[in-house]
Amino acid sequence: MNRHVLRFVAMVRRWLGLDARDRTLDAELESFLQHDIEARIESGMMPEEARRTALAAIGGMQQTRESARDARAGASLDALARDIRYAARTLRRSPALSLAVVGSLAVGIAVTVVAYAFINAWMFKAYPGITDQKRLLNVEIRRLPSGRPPGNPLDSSEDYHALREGLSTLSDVAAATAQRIALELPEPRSVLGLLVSDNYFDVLGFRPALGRTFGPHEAQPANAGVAVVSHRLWREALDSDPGVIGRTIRVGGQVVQVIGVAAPDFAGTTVRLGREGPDVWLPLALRSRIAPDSATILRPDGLFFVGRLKPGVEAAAVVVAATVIASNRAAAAGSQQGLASASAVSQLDPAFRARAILFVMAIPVLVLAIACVNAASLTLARGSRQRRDVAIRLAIGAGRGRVVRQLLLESLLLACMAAAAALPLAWLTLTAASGRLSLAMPIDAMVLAWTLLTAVICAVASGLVPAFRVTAHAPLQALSVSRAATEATPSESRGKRRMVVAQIALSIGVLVAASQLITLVEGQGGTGGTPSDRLLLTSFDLDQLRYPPESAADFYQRLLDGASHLPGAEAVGLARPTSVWTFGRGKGPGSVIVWAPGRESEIVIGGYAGGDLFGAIGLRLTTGRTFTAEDRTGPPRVAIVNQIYAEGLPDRQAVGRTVRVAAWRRQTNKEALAEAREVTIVGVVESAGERRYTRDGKAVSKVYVPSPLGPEPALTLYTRARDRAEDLAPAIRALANRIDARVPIGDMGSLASVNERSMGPSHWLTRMSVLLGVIALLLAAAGLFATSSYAVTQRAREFAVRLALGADPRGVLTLVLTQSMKTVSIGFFIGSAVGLGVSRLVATQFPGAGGPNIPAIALSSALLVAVMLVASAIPAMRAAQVDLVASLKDG
Amino acid sequence: MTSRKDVPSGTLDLLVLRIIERGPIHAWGLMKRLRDLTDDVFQVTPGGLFPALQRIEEYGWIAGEWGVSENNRKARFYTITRAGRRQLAKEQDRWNVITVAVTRVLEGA
Repeated sequence: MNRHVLRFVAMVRRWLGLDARDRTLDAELESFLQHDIEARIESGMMPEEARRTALAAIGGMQQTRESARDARAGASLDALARDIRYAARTLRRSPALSLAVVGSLAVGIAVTVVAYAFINAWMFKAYPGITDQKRLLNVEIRRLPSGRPPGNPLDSSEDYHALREGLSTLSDVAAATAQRIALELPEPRSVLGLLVSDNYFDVLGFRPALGRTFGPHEAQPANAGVAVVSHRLWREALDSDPGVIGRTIRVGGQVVQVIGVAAPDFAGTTVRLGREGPDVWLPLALRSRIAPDSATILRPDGLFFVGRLKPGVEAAAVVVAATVIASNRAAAAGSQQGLASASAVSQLDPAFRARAILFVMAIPVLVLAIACVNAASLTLARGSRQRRDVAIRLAIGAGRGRVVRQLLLESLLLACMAAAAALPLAWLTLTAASGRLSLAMPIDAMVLAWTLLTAVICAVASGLVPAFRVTAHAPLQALSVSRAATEATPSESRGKRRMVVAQIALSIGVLVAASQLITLVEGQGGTGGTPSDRLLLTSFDLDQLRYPPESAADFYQRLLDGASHLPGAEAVGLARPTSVWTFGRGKGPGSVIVWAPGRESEIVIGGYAGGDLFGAIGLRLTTGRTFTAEDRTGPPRVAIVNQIYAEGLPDRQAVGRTVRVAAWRRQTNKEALAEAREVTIVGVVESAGERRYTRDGKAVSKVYVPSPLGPEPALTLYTRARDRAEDLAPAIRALANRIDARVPIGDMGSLASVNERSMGPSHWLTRMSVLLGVIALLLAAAGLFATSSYAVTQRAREFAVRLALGADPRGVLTLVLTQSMKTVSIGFFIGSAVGLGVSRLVATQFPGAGGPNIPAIALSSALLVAVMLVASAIPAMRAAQVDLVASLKDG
Repeated sequence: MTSRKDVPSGTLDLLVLRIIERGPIHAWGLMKRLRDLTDDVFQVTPGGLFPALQRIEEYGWIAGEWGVSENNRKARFYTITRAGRRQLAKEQDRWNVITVAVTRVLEGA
């Protein structure tokens, strides 16, 4: 056998404990010594002298043993194992400090692991149910009428056919479009549906849980009456019926046959964080037969394309080929230039990724930093106690590098223990959060790898400085008998105090960032004078049932009348879903084009305001009058604008001015002007509080008219309840059911819940940040507590002398407190500077975030100072009650 | 008395293998034999000998077994293995080549 193999086997045997070589070596050395002594006695030495000279000749049993061991294979690994055992023993000797370090680091690591798992699931994990997502591309083509980007998307069926036939770089390309669809099962419900080309599922490489997906013949309108339903819909509304295949359901007024049930998590490639995926997939050929979704679909075409790359083809080749097609299509549409792009299918726009990672990671990293500083100051505290040990090791010839390595190993051991404790903590948090975010966040190999890396970084960050500090003293000084010498040196105390300063500064930074994110997110969504938990929003879309316009008008009139008479309803209004608050949509189905004399046309939100809309929302009329019954007959002749719009008019004079308005449907300016109506402004209402960070926190202009500008199939009922909005929900549901039992209620909930839903994940994230801020604060307080109680313990002798000389115990208390407060205030000032920096960074990354939330910072700083006072007062009080005799005798 | 020298580097294995080849021997005896044979020229210390024994044993060139020494003490006796003999032959060849070369240089100079 090869000698290296033999050595390896020997090494493995030794590690497994199968080899008693160490014991054998010891016995052999002993035997050697005895032989040598005997030989020396034989040559005439006295036994005592023989023993002494033999021991000297062997050159130290320990050194010989060590060098013999070092000659073996894997000697350095053996040494490492010995170091680890030694480190574990050292840590066991100060269990409280070790536990504190592990606890502190575990919190910091758990927080970052949660953030990693979230980022990993959100940005880097493939969509469930899709095969080889890496080769899928989102393909987009546009035409540039003005020759400049962004231009208009080319997204019609013709564009799709051009792509499908022309893109030979893709093995296939599918098209899809999303819309809300009314389902009758038989009770009506409105779900998100996806209309897809016949090859959509094949391009995605998707296998259904039950039944089959669409085939080429279903591209024919005559055969298109089929549907694939989501696993969720199958469970919740179809009773998990295994015989569901072949059953017929009514979708958007059409009878279709269920041919497949999707796999449990499959949601295509369009799911967004915190949003549910589609519940039904229908062939694109059915589109002309099912009713359009007037509430959410803005463009008549609006297809998106997803293609699968051929093996060996790069995305760049697809862009080149698609640009040619885009140019042809652009020319057909009268534009000179076409543009194409192809991007990897992922949950997140890559350009947004970096910012999102910054947003998510900023606070966890700060918390981790605090935890590391905490661990470092605790390690430093232990280091002072350990200094004698270290000095002895240095004195008997251990190299400084070796001792530093040993101390770092202790830190690494603690960090690994912390990571092990952090993982279950993180797992619990992730499990609780995944429901809120509609996102499965597993702790997979990627997350584990990051966790390990974090533990190593923690070990170095918290162990390096203390390790160099502890080994920096001259052995003589550390070994000198006086106890005073084992107390902290001034530079060491300064080091500890600096750590506390860093901690306080970092936790103030965290709190500033957290409070700013809270203002940023909580401030979003709509508010009027009506408290958001008293305003009930109920949306309908009659187009999903192909309602004739006159019947729709009749339905809404009866709904308005009925709701107004409900007990508990204070005011009821009707408007488009987005004409009061945009909820993330700028230009949308609620938009109106307005031409004021002497101004360019502008697109504002507003439109039809039926019933007592302003009363329901709680917007007061500041000037003029509200709509009368007479205004509501026939097409609009008058209008009410909000203050923001009025302020933009000459002399800020709105009432009496005449403007032209038209419903905005993406038509050209000329087309819109042709159908515009002239209306006279009769009143001005307050601007509803509506803050979106994309709009720099400014309310937007609004223009309302008393009767619809065109057919209004999709409207939202705004009901102001006397008490809780949700209490009115059953009555409104029953009312709609009485008027027409087929009509599904699209969305129903209080404004509070709508705000919450539209901003759900961000709300959750900011609340987490605040929680993290509090954790950071507690960690910092624990750090200060540990450091100041340690300092007090070390100065016990000094205090005892002071007290013995007649110092007032209160004086000692004041002394300790003054010193702590000095540390706290330095930390506070540096922290404020850090906070301002963080705040500026947040503000540049998220326009509209505004400045830091001053009251929140003031409150949290006050809290911080209070916690710090308590943290240093407890040890200070202990110092004042020092046992004089015991402390002095010890010295 | 001749002044003591360190064993020329790389030759300790050769010397140890050669002595063990002549019959089972324990560590102290090995050291004594080395000193006797070289008239105390080579200063072999336990600190040099034991690492060499550990290494050579791990290579599988020698095998150790507990036994009783001439003065009735427990001692670990080493014997050469087959691989050890092969290694010894190799080392001897190498040594011969070197000494011949060195001698030639010295004589020719």
